[in-house]
Amino acid sequence: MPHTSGLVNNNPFAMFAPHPVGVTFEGQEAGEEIILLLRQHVITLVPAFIITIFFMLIPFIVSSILLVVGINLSDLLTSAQIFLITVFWYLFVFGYAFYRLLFWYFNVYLLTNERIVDFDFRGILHKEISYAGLGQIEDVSPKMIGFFGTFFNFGNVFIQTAGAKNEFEFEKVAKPDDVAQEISEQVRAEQGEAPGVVA
Amino acid sequence: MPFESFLAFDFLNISAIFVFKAFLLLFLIFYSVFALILFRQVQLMAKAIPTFISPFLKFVAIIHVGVAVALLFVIIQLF
Repeated sequence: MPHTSGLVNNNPFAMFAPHPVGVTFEGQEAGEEIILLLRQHVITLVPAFIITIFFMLIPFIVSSILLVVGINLSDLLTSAQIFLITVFWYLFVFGYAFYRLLFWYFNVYLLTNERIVDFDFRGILHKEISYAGLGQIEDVSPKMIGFFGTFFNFGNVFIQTAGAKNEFEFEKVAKPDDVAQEISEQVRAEQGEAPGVVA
Repeated sequence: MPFESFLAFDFLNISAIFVFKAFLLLFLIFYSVFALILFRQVQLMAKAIPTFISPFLKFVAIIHVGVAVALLFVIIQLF
């Protein structure tokens, strides 16, 4: 019995989503079903969140420092200019936060009943999609390292395959043991099927 | 040299506000290009993995481009 059978996930921001509702992917075959959708653990967004909060506070910090050293910005710039600079700064902060959220949201790992898929969007001009059939998977090993990994139950899952890209790495995913178990069960199910059957 | 004179770039006969505006405009031009590329990337990512919030993310990305370009023109006009 597959580990995630019977579970359905409606949360569009889920980091561990068994049978996600309303999600498809480019190149999905007829009858191919997404068993598991994974994103990096949400805790990996904490540094970006802290940086965003810090950026949001910078205008207050800068104006306080300038006041302390005896420079009054309103003497140097008009209120319209100060307003435009503030709008510009918060646009930049929004851009940073949106960029980080997007790349977290769209960097997904999929396990289907036929293959594993790794959507890799690194940086603004880098898109890489890797596929490996379940029949090509030779070895799956979950790895949890460090305090945060152990405490929040996330880590990497290394998948050794016989394909052109011989190693897949699901990075910083939640419940790596469950992911590895689910992949192994799907591989066993695939091995029991007749060649070419999509089920 | 007094601080106000230094800020006014008196020694170069250039206003500090002019230099600041030039930097701001240059940064905003680059930022608008970044916003445009980000929008294109969102389109590509949403095509690769369509979810039911993808249209919302595309909408936010296009608004982001619009605000960046609008701010560029407002700063050219008003600063």
